Amino acid sequence: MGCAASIPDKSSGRSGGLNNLENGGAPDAKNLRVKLVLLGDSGVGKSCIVLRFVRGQFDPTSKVTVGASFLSQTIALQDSTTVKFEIWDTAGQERYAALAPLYYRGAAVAVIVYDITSPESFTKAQYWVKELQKHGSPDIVMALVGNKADLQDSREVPAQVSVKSVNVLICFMSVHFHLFSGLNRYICKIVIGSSMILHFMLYFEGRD
Amino acid sequence: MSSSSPSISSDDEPNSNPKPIDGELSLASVTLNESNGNGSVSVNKNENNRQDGGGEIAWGRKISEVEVEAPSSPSSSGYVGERGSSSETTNSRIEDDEIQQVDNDDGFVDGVNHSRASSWVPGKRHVDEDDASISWRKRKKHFFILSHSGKPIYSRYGDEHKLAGFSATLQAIISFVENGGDHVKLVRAGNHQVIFLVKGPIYLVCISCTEEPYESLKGQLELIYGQMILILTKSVNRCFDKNPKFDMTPLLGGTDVVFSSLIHSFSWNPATFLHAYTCLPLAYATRQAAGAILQDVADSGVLFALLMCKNKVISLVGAQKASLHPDDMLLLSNFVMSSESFRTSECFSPICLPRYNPMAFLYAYVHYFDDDTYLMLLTTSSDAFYHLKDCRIRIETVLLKSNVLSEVQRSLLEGGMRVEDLPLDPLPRSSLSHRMSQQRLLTDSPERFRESSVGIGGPAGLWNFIYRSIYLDQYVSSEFSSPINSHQQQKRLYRAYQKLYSSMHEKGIGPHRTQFRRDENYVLLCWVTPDFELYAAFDPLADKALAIKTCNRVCQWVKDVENEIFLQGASPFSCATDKAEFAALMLESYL
Repeated sequence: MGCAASIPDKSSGRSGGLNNLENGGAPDAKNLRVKLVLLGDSGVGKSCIVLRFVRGQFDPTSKVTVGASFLSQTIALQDSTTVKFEIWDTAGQERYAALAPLYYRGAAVAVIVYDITSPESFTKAQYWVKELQKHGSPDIVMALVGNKADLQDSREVPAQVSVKSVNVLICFMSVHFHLFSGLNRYICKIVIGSSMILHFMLYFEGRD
Repeated sequence: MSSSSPSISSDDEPNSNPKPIDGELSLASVTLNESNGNGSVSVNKNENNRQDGGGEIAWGRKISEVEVEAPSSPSSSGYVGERGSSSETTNSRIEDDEIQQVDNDDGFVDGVNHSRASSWVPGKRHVDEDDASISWRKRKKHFFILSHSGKPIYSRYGDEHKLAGFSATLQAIISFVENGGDHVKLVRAGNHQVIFLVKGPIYLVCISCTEEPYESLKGQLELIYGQMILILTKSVNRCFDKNPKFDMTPLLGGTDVVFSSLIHSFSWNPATFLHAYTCLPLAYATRQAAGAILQDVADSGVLFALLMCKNKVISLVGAQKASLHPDDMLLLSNFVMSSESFRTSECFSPICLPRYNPMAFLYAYVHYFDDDTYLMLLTTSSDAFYHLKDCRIRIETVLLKSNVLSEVQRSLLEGGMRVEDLPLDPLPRSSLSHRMSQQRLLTDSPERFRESSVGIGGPAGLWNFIYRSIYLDQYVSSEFSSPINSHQQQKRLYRAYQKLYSSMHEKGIGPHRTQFRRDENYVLLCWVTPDFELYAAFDPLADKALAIKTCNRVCQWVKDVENEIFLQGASPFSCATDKAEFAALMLESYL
């Protein structure tokens, strides 16, 4: 997958997943918790992206996710606010599709991943966008990620198509940003946080 | 060759048999005469003379004699009556071949050298093959899952899609027989057996030339079916009600490793034919500590809590009335261990326990504490993730505080019972715990205890044993020691045990009491009582009376250390299960 080399180390400061305490209580303005879900066809590299983001690791061997994996990552923003991402890395197999609501219910951010060498995975990504528009939380921020940018030569999903879609999503996100910035600091932070994620993710596509 | 005069009379009441572990055993009083140098077999059954010719099994000890003298291949298994036309001589020659074939089984397949027990890599191999490939045809053991319309679902070797024609042929055979109002169970073709298992719209087929008994292979097909149910639940059948031509392969996407690892375990894991589980040897107090915290968690709405190390149980607890079948544990641990993603981070996944309720999903929270030790918390609630995560944190804290995890690692390094350590004189409360405490002092030299008997194979030529406690649903097997060193030798021994097991559990004949069998590889001794089953392998030259004496000592030894090798007082595996609270997440809903 494309995230093999020379990724800027934005994801430093791993939040030790094990003993990371669940604050559980009311959202506190300085320490935000954001539920993020990854969706997409099987084999597109969702787990690779998450592990890269959370642990800075890249494992070229493919490990099929079963059900869903739970990971977390905390990011500090400039104003010393921390955003803790609680990440659900879902399995892409068809048999787990019915379980997706379990994981995207209440999610603030959805990262939908496809494989630029696989049109089927792009179709599947479109399915997830529609599914989230219908059943996701109305405020959900979606990011579409075309993965495996290093396999440019075998690209099957035209770059224009995906870039266009990504643009749509960026617009979609900006809309949310403007909508909420003045209204709700909490949501605003989520969007800022997720835009960081988005930038991080887009980096893979941006390397084209 | 007739059985040597049995000295445990066949009218022995099972109950008159002293309890295995209570001192002197009935076997000890047996005097057995070996009738001749070619080896002998004596089988004591509750009903005698069921076998034609009176001889159960006798393989010539010298390989050169096998073809001439050996009257039959293992005829003790259930398929005797269904056997095809192969003559006895053919069979014995096959048996002779089999020895070499088994040596090559999978070795050939993987192109890896034989001592690869640990180097085995799960996953599908030879996807490029199909039924036209010679290499595919030469594979010793094929497993297929197909649908009742003949669509391939899974094949151990080769690409399922390329095997559509082959699947259709298998389906045609099955439905041809079914149209005649009958069921096909087994077809013999030369040295190949084709075993069929029909489960509603799902057909399972095994094609094997490994000479394993029908009952064993059928049991393996049952487990493969169970593994599929664990992943999908039985409600997958409804897909076939709606659309008989339904293609199931996408639903099983990514599960090749699960099946291949299960199939691999048929050759190394006795749980696959004993229908029992095994525990990691641990001091009683350590296991108690683990059990206590699991119990604590189970009381807070967890259906089952299992702490395991590889395929061995550290402790397990079930909610009230809930019981876990050993086969479910086998399939669940195989599923978790073969899916690499569980090791990466904590996971929450739907699974189905086929023996508990094949229709509904449970949710499994899985977390690895280290490379080998993992916790599984099963619940009926799909919303329980955060609760289970909290439970895990509590459990982990306790396990760390009470050093359970380090004890587990130590036990893993030390291994289990070794035949070399079999106490000469049964001393109460000695042996394993004794060895453990000794080893505590000499932690850096675990080899020390083995060196005395390298190459001898333990007292009286005892090479290996498996003891299965019927009441506990648990077994303990000794560690492999020389000369059973390589994976191939281990596999051959397990296949011999399997044959022994199925001959002892033949339907309609009732449980045999004892069996003594000698061939060019081993002396095998099996002893079945209402409380336990003992399977032991000895040097082929072992003396029968001594072997029997040794078995008594093994039983005494097991009794002495039972608190360390078995999980005591686990919730009884009753049949009464409370299925009322199931999350009825049916597969259908997302198809």
